[in-house]
Amino acid sequence: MLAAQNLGKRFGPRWIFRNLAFEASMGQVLGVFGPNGCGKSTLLRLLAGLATASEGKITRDSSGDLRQSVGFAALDLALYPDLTADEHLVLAAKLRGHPSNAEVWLNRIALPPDQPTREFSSGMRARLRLALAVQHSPTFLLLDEPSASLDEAGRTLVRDLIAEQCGRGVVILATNDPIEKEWPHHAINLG
Amino acid sequence: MPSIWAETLAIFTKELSTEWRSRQGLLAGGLFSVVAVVAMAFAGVNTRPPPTLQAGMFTIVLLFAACITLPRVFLIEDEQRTIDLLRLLARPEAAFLGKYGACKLQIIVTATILSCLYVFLSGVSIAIPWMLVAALAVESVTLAATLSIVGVLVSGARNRWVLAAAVGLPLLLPQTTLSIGALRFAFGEGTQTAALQNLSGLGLFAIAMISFGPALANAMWRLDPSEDRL
Amino acid sequence: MQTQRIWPQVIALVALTAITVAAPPAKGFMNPDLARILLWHLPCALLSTIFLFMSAVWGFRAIASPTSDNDARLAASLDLTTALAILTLLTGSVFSRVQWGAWWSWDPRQTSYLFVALILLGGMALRSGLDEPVKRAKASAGYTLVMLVPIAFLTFVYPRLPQVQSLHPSDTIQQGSLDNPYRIGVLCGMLAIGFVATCLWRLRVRALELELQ
Repeated sequence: MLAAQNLGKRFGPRWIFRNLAFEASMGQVLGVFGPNGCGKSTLLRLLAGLATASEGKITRDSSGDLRQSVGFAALDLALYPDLTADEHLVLAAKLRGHPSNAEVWLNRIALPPDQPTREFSSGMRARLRLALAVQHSPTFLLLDEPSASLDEAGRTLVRDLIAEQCGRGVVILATNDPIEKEWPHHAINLG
Repeated sequence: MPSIWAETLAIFTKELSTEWRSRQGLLAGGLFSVVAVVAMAFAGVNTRPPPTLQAGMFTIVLLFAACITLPRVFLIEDEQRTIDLLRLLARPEAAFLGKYGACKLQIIVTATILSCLYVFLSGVSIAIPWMLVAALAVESVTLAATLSIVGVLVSGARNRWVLAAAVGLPLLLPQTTLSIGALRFAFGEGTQTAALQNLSGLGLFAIAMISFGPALANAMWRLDPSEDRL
Repeated sequence: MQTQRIWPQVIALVALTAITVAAPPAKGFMNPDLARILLWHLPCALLSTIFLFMSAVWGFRAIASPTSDNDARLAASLDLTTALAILTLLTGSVFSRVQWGAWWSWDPRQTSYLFVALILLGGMALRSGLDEPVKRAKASAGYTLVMLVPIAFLTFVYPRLPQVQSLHPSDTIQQGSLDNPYRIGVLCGMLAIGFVATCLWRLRVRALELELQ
């Protein structure tokens, strides 16, 4: 279960959102919708532990390290430009302490193993970010506009990954894409 | 969960392979050192500056070379916006220690190149070679530790490159004084007791900085700071 | 809104000025009359050290729990430490001109204190470079704890090293080398400047808390 009570975030005097409350249970996909600038990405950063809430509380029903229990993929999550996709997957596996299965993942996301990510297109980078987010089978998968810049095969990959994640945890999906909006079981609107 | 040492090794390897591919840090530091040593040697042609002055000039060149190269290891994560990925993947303590290891290696290489060039170009004689080696080794460890801490502190700041120097240089002044105290004996002035005192002071600095670094990195980079409220 | 009265602070400083004028000329100095600046210089230096330790306490609390209360108290303590350190340097420089003949003599004690002031100013630069409040609080707290090592070295260890030859007297109070009127004068200086500094600290904390809210 992933829940928020009375959650608020402000930058300086301006509140991005306030008094936000929701709960997502195991096996559920929670959608986060709203216009640009309403705080969808900020909310996901708070849930990932990358940023600090200005008020309220986040409850994560999972023991242990957040690095193990959270998978996070967002458009602005940068990759190391000098490392290849294979090196990213191996590094992440070493740091989180699980088998990398780099070859399997590279086949699944259809990326070359030896090309540095600086030479990747935005769609290729999005695929690698997805693989890094789900490689360790997290309990909470946080996806921010996951299909942006992906082709049809990429979209199918995202849908498959979300379906797999529903079997083991929670998915929070921030999106404005009309097709992606069909996937969540329930949603909150920040607009 | 992997041990902190396994994570540290993974970060250290990542840093080295990244540096090996771009060679930016080493090139910038190396080039600065060569230019500075050539300028020093040229300025002192046909003169023999006293050992304390030689030690001072040498330490200051090493200090500036370190200030140019070392914070890069930390600040590049901000610049490339990969700091979030690093925080999602690595324990902050391991990230600090791995990066500190890479910094240390870089500064040892820079100090070695610098000392060889200095001796070769200026023709100075090293009175106590073992003290030169010891002073450079301890100074490199201390410089790397302090600048790694500065790298952690200024990450996320505006004008972080300038700030790294503005924050780092004052913190490094006492270490510089101690380093000069040890090196002047290597260049033939002062007593062994005083040099060893300076060396142990430098060593204590290194221990204090290395011990505090991982705790600081944990405070700055740890995930889920839900209890941090401001 | 509660208004801050400033007359008690003004009275404290006027009283200290009167004590300075009334104090007997300091024996053993090149210019005994002007050596009275000691009654301002020494309290500033001692109070700066006290505020530094206060900063360390708030730094420790702010790094563990970066709340606006802890951060405001840390920032105010650092500001006061820096202000007092600069006053120490300025009064020291006047003392140097009067007694040693130059505004700046590169005396080891004088220079090491300049390093201390630079380290403190580095902390202010760091604080001004960070916009995000939690990050700023943690970085500022971290820097405060880190700078304790070089500052402790420069203040307590370096001036006492056998190879360091300084014109500046050390351990003046512990060795009892101050005459009675001067001992009392320094105590009065500590009380007067300490009172003013504490009032400024409280004002600064309130201003910073309002800013953070």
